[in-house]
Amino acid sequence: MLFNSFIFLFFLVFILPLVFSLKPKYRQITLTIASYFFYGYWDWRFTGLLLLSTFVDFFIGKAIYSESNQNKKKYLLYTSLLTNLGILGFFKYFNFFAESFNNTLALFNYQLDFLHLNIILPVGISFYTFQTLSYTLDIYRGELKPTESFLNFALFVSFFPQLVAGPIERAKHLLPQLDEIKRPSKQYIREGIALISIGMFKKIIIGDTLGRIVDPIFTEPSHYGSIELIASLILFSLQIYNDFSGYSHIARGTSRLLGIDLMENFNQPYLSTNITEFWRRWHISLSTWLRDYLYIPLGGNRRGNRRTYINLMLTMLLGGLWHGANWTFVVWGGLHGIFLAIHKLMIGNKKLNFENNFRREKGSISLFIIKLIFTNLLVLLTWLFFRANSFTTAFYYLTKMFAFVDSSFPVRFVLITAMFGFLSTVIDFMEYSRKSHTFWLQLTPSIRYAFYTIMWFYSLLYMFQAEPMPFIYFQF
Amino acid sequence: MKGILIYIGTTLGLILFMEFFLQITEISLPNPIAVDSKIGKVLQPDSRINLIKEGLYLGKVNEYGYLGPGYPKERKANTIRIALMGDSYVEAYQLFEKFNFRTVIEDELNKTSDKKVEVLNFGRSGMSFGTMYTYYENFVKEFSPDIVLFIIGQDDFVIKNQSLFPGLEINSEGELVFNKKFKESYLFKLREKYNFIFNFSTFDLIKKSAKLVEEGYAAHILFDKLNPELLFNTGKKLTAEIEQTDEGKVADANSIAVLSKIFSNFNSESSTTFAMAARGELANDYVKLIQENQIHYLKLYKYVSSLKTPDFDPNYWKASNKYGHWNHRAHQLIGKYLANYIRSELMTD
Repeated sequence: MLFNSFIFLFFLVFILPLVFSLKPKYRQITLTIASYFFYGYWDWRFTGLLLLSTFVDFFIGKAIYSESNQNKKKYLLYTSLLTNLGILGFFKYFNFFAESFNNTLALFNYQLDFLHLNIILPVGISFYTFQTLSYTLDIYRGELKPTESFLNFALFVSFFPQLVAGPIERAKHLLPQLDEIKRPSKQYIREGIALISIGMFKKIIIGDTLGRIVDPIFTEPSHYGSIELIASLILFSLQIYNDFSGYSHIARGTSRLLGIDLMENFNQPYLSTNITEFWRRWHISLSTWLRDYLYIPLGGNRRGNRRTYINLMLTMLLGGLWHGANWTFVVWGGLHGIFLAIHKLMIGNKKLNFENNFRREKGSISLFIIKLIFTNLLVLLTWLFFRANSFTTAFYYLTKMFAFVDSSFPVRFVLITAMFGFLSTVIDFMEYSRKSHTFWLQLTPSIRYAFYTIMWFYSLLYMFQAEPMPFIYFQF
Repeated sequence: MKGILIYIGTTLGLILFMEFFLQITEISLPNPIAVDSKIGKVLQPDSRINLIKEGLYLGKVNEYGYLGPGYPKERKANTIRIALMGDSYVEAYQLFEKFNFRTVIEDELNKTSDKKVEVLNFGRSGMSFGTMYTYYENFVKEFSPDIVLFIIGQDDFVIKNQSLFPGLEINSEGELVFNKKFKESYLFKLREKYNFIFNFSTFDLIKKSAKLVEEGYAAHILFDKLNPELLFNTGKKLTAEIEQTDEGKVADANSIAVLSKIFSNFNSESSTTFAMAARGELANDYVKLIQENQIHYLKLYKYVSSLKTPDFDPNYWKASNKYGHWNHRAHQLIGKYLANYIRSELMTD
């Protein structure tokens, strides 16, 4: 079920009163069933995978906790990792590795038609796999006590607002909240409505409309001139941000209406002044997951500079691969790894200031802007590899962007880009300067309701007459 | 009270901002259509158009009210002018102007012709052949084309009155006349007086939604898989599943009578060469009628279907993964094919 669809709004309108009209002890089961319905609405067959993952980690988690022998604990952890990563690997990476293996053999003049399977990638598999893994890993590390309730855990894995595209929650934060689902406070309801309203607007009016322009250009860049290609790359960067942060807003808002707090996933990443800051603000739930379960276990920055850079690269390469089974994603991650390593080399052990303040660079706004532009240019370059379907397309695109090929509508494309950029930046600016995603609540009620009216009016109007576009991150 | 006024004021301000936003970002452009008491629905000169469905189209109506480069009504000496007429296939709102077959034909013919060749695109989506004829008589003719090439499908030949266009009928004296009842319609009067409303993108979005409701898609849009009509197998099916009507498969008597007059009128215009390029197989009666009136006839569909290979479908759009109008490569090939045809068959005099 897509958030940007009427059926989701009906679903929400039905579920919310239903859950809270029931006695607290029935709320968990109702929400779990609703979450499975939400997931199964796309393809009911994959609810089995969700259930399998839930079973495995629930029982392994308990077994790890009660086991005193360290070796046995380790084997139990490996079983969980093998099952979860095995499922993920099969559904997401089987064809990718098979194809890569074939291509490598072809380099040595070996022809081997390695098996290619028609596999459908289950929506959100990377998200819920990482979420369940964090549960088992936390128990193994002695940082978490397993839940006694299977239902509680099943809801933790399948909780519909964040099931298919995050935020990738930690058990420590989410499980206790799901244990007893309380009625949301008035403040939560207000915040929930504010988050859903802006999330819908960002997703539908900015993300979806941009996707319709960007998709044909990236599919066949040969038909477009340099300005159109440059514009399209910038538009993609706005699309992916508004698509994903819009989704995260809706997820958090929906949870708020259920009385549950989900972590922030985005914090105005395009207002970062360096690449390290970008990763503190972009897809926070994934970057912190990678930090806690990959970078730090690899040694983090505790084993000298050289090892730190290697760890950074490894983390980012795997982070890239997490996004999709294509070498372009690996390159995307690799580029970020290189930029992060260079930045680390430049700053050394200096502590960075990530607070939301335009004057934090020694009081200078112009320095802030220069750094911001430079950071965004680096990020923009990486988006090219993220969006292109292949290296051939990416390099063709890159070359043509700077080849001054005539464009049919340069002015129109520049205006389109500027206007989308303006609106996206204004929203970001407000969130950044007010240090809140629900800054709407700080406006006087009349103005706030006028904003809500307009955001919903245009979002619903556009949603009605345009086919809904899936969230970009659904495929990951 | 103050709160309500602030609410109304802010809402109006935001509507204005959104209108500006929609127009600049081209999420929804103002409707480019206006009405004319002689021609019916016309394209407003200099209006921007975009459409993102099968492909990405950005374009502009030229200063003379048709698509493509603007050639004025007065034709310069030593030029050959070709008018392309037809429906959405000619209009080609799927790809940029520089890639459509109009441009290809013009470029190809100018390579070999001593005279300058100008190809004008008068394609309008949804236009049937009867309406194309009224459009030709009331508008296109003023551009003095030497050659008029119609690209038509079987359904186009069914003569029917189209909303906001003059109709065609045979009067008691057996003459073909324009029926101008469209001017009396409520829609025409509304358009004539308040066309500025249609220039708002917001209104255009509302209109598009209303049209979907009118066409019976509301239940599907709102309820998706849980659409009661789908669940209980009642009501209108989705666009892709709508069954083809039988309309147009067989030539009907009224259409034949009107078409016969139209072709005979074409035949009497000695200064202009008319040709019909069929996008699909036509009923024998239509073909006979075309040929009897010595109008050039091209089975374009045979060429288009010959382009189909296991690796290439002229109607497949990779970006949207949809089948529809001709794609970029098809336009290129069809343009070259039509240029050869025009050069060898229609430019001989």
